[in-house]
Amino acid sequence: MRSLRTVFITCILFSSVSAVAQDKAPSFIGVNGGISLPMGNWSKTNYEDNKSGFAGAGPQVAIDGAYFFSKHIGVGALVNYSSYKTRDINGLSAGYQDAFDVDQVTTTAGSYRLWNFLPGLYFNFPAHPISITARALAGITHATTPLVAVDVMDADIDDGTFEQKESTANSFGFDLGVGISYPVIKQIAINLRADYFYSNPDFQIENTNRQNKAGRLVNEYHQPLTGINISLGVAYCFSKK
Amino acid sequence: MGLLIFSFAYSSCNKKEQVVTPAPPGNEFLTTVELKLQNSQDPTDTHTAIWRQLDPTEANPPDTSLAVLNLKPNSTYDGQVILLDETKTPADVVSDEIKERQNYHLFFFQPTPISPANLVISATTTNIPGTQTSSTGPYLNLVVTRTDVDANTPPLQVGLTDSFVTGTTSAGWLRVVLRHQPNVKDGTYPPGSSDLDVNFKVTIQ
Repeated sequence: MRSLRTVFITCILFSSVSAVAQDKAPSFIGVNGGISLPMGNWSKTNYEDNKSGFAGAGPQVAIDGAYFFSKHIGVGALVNYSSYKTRDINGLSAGYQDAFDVDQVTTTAGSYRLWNFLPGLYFNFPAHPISITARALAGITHATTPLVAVDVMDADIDDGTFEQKESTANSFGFDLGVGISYPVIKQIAINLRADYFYSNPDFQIENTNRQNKAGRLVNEYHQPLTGINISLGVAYCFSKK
Repeated sequence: MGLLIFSFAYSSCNKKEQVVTPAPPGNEFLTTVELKLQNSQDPTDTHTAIWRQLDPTEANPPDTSLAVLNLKPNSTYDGQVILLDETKTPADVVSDEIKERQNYHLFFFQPTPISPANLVISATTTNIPGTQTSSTGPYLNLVVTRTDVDANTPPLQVGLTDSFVTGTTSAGWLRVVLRHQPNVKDGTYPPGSSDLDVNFKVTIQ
């Protein structure tokens, strides 16, 4: 009798688990790419304001994946790289030209680079034939500021080059996003996503060959690196929908 | 595939961009240099010497008829350099802009004739390297020192205000040079270029 009861309970449990498993949203791993649009002071281009970050829109790529343990909720992670060219280098260069009152300034600028390592929660809302996914991720942002080199020339004399060196800092970062997923073939889906991202690294910036107090001089930068990522991608789903 | 996308994005997005920015046209001219001196012991003893070149092409010679200082011997004068652009109406006071941009401007004042012993070149003297010296004289007995400093760290002299100290009766020339030293100002003459280079006749009697 006892063994029968054990078998019965075991069958019930297995069938429950099986039922839950059938209702689970498909786990996936995917690759996304798109454009990242910086916002706030980070994207402003006011030469006189050191809060202005001169960050322009840039490409971003990401690998993410999630394991869904229920119909709607899962855990996952995002690894994301994005790059932001220095925006309005002409304005930056003109600012230095005016500040030093020289015949010519040559400004060379690199890019901001961000790596995000963000685990967190994924949410899935089926709406046949698509599904809507949302995510709330938090983790580490590893960011690097661009190198800015300014060569000053006046009266056919090269007065040298001063540099705002690259600076790297890590900080807490998060990503809140929503997207739609459409299964094109069995186990393959395409995704369209929009994500808001935020981090606030404290950069300490080294400047070399700044002999005189003149022109824009940024020794530190502590402004939110925030913006919107718009991306398109493809995902491999591990279970049938 | 992901690695490929990452490596492509990383390599293509880490390139540097370069922009060359020339000075905008229509910069101001520096047409007029005034030296205003006041005897520190006798406020009524004032002098103004004016060097003027109103032709930006410099096809015509400058007007030096007023570029003369007649100073009393053994006196100390508080001096001020005023630069004007008289091609504009009213005249633009360029020395105000030099004051704003003092961190990379530096005046030099070179009395001649000068003895080799008095041609001291340092970060705080106003003498100009390479000035021809005379071992026999007679010399212009005038020493000019700057009295203002800029906002650099440590502060460097500027020369918009100065002290003119005369000795015994003598005569000669005072060469005034404004050096424009963008991000290379260190108190010495060589870095940068000259925004002006003019001469005043000086008589001490």
